[in-house]
Amino acid sequence: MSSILILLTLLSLATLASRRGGFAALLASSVPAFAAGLIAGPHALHYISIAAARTLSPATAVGVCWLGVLLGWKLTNARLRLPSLGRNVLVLGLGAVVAGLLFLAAALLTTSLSTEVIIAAGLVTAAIILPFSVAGEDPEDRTGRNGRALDLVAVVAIACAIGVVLGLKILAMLIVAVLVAMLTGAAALLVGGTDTQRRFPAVLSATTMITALAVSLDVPIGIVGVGLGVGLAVIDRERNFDGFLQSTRAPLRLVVAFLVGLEVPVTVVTSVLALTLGLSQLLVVYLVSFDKDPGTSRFDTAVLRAASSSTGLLALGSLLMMDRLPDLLGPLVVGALGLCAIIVDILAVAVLLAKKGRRAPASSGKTP
Amino acid sequence: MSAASPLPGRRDLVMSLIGLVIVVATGIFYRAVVGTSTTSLGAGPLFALGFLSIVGVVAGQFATIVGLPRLTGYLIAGIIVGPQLAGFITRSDVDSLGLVNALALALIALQAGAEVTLPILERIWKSLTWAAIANVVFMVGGCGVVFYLLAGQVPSLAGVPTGAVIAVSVLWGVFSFTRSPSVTLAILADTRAKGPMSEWALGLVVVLDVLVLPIFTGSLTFARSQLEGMPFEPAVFLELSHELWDSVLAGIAGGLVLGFILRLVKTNRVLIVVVVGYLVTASCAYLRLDTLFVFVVIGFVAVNVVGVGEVLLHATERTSGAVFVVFFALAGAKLDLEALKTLWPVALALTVARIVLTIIASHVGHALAKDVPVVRRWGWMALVSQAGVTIGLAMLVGDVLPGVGKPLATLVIAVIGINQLIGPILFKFALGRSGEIPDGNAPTPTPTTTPEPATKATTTTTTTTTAATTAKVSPATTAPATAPTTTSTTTEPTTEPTTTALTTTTTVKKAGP
Repeated sequence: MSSILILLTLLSLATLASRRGGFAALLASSVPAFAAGLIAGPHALHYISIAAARTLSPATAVGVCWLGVLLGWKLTNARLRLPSLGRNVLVLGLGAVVAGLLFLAAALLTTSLSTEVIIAAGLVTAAIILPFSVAGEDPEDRTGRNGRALDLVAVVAIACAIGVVLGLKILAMLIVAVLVAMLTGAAALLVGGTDTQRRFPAVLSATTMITALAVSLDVPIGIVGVGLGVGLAVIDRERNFDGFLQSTRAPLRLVVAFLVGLEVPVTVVTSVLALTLGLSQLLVVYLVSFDKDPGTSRFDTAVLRAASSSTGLLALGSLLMMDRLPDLLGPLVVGALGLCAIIVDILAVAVLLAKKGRRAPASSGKTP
Repeated sequence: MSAASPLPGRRDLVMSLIGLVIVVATGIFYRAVVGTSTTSLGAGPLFALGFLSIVGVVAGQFATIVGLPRLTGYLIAGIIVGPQLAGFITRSDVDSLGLVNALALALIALQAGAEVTLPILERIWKSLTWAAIANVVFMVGGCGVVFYLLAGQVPSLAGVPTGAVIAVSVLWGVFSFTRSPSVTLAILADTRAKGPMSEWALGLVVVLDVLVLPIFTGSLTFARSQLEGMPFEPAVFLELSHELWDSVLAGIAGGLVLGFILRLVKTNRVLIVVVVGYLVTASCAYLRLDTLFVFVVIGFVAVNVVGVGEVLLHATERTSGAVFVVFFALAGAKLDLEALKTLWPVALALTVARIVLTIIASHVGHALAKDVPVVRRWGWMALVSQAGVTIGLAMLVGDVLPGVGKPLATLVIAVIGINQLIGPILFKFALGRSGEIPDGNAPTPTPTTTPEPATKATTTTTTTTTAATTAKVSPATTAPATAPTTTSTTTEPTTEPTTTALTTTTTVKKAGP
C-alpha cells in the first residue's frame, strides 16, 4: 500500500505541476522530478528504501512503456519530413561520433573498463543521446520540428546498438516483441471502440500486457512501447485519441522521471560522464537546430530543445529494466544520462531566466 | 445512477471479437515465453491486469447480447482465463492484484453511500427497518437450522460436539445473511434502473452490510468459545462499537474534506477519487477503522451535507468502469471450481435453502412495512448475490477456527460461486420486470471527449418510475449520476468489501488470545 500511495502522490503532484505554463513548466519538468527521485532514493538519502523502490519498478516499467506509446504515436502522427532527413542523418552521425568519442575518453580517464564494455557503452550512449537531445518537448517548442525524423532514426539506432551490444538473439526478440505490441495496440482500439472512456482503459491494459511481455523477454520496454503506439495509430487514422494521449504526456514524464531517479546510482564516474555527455548533447542539438525559434538565438533554442526530453527518459527507463546489460554498462549509461539531463535543464532554466529578464525591460518601456 | 451501457452494435462486436482474438494470441505468446513461473519486476500481475481487463470488457459486451448482466460476462471471463481453466492468469497473479480490490471496494462503498440520500432514507426507512429485522431473524435463524440439519453431510463436522455444531450453524446463518452491495451497484449502474425497487435494494444491502459486522463478530466469538473452550467475552462488542463510532467520525471528516475538495477542484476528479480511495484505505488499516463503513459515511456526507452528489458519482463511475471489470473478472478467477465440484450437492441444497429463506424473509418484511407491490413481488431477487464480504469473512473463519474453519470456508465459497452466477441475473430480471430499466439501452451518441461535469449540471435524464411509485422522487434521485456524454463501457463491481473482514480480523484478534 505504501508504494501505491507514493505513486499516487507523485501522480497528483505531477498533474498539478504539469498544468503550469511557461517558465514554471520547465521548473516542473522532468529534471527536478528526476533529481528529487535521485535525492530521495536509496542511493542518496534513503527516504525511499530499496524495497519500496523495487515495488515501484512495475510502475516505472509501465510508465516507460507509455512514453514509448506516445513516441510511437507521434512518429506516425505526420509526415516524416523526408527532405530534411538526409541532412539530419548526417548530423546524427556526427553527433554519434562526438558522443561516442567523448564517452570513450571519459571512461578511459576515470576507470579501467574493458574495451568491450567501453565500445558497447559508446554505442549505446551514442544511440541514446541523439533522441535524448532532439525530441524535447520544451514549453516553447511543441512542434517537434526535427524531432520526428530524428526520433525514428534514433529508435532504429538504439535497436541496432542493442543488437551489437547484446547479440542478435535479443535483437530478434525485440523485433518480435515490437510486432506483437503493434498488433496488441491495434486490438486495444478495436476493443475500445470509438469512445474515449472505453479506449483509455483498453489502451492502458494493452500497455500493461506489453510491458509484462517486454520485461519477460528482457528487451527494452520503451522500444516495445513504440510498437504499440504505432499499432494504435494504424487503427485510429483520424487521430481521435490524440488529444487524450498527449494530455497524459506531461504528468507521466514527471512521474517516470522521479521513478527512474530512484534507481539511478550516483558515482564519480557517472558524474564525469554526465558532464561530458551534457556538453556533447548540447553540441549535437546546436548542430541540428537549423530552424531556430523566432526571437531566440540558436544556442538558446538548442538548450531549450535539449531540456525535458521524454525520449531520454524512455531510453533511461528501458535500460534500467534490462537485466542483460553487461556489468557496469547499465549503471554507467543510466547514471550518466540522468545527471546529464540535470545539467542541460539547469542551463535551460538559465536561458529562460535570461529571456525573461530581456522581456521585462522591453515591456516596462511600453506606454501604460 | 450511472453511465449508460448501450447494447453494442454488430460492427462493434465484430471489431471486439477481432481484438479479443489478437489479445488472446498475445496471451498465448506471453505464456509460451514465460511459462507459469513467477517473473521478475511484477510482470505476471501486470499481464494479468491488462489481459483480464480486455477480455472482461469483451465478455461483458457479449453477455449483454444474450440478455445477461455485463458483470456476469466479467465473472465468466475470469473463470475461463483463470488458473483453474485456461491458465492465462496464475494463482499468484490473482493474489498480487489486491490493490485493485482495495480501490474497487473503496469505490463501491463511496458510491453506495452517495446513492443513499436523505430523501430516499426518509421514504424507505420503515421498509428498510422491517426488512433488516426479517433478514436477521429468518436468514441467521433459518439458514442456521438448515445447516444444522445438513451437518451430517459435511465431512469435517463428523464427531464434533453438538454445541460446536450449533455454533458453526449460527455462523453459517450469518454467512447466508450477507448480501452484495457491489453486485447491486453494478447492476443498477449497468441498467440505469431507477425507482422504488432500485432504491429499496440498494438501501437494504448497504444496511445489511453494516449490520453484518457486529453479528458476525458475535457469532464468531460464540463459535470459538464452543470449539476452543474460550470464554465468551461480551467486551468484544464494546470494542466493536468503539471501532464503528470512530469509523463514523472519520467518515464524517473525510466526507467533508472530499466534498470541499470536489467543489474546489474542477478537473482531474478521477485522480482525486483514486488518491482518496487508497489514502483512506491505508489510513483505516493504520487506525484500525472499518474501511467499508468509513467510505459509506464519506459518500453519504459528501452528498447530503456538502452537496456534491452528482460530481462525486460521476467521478466514481468514471473511475469504476475499468476497475470493476478487473475486480469482477478477478472474482471469477478466484472461484474455487474444485470445491464446487466436490461439495456441489451440499452447496446446492444450502443455496436453495438460502434462496427460499430469502423469499420468506423478504415477504415478511414487505408485509410488515406495507411496501409497494413492485417491491413485494421482486424484492427478494435483489438479495441473492453474494461476493467479497462473504469471501473475506470465510477466509477469516478459515484462519481462526481450528479444524472446521477451512472446510467451512470452502463450503461458503462454493455457495458463493453459485450465488455469484445466478444472483446478478435474477436482479437484472427483477429490475426489468418491475419496469425500472429505462428504454435507453439503445446505442447512444459516442463522445470523443469526456468533459468533467459542472458542479451543477444543467442537463437532466429521464427518470423512469413505475406506475407503482406514488412517492415523490427527490431531486437527488432524479439527478443524473453521470454527465450527458458518459457512455461508460463497463460500470460494474463484483465482489465485495473484504475490508470489512479485515477490520473484523482486528476486532477478533483483539478479542482473541
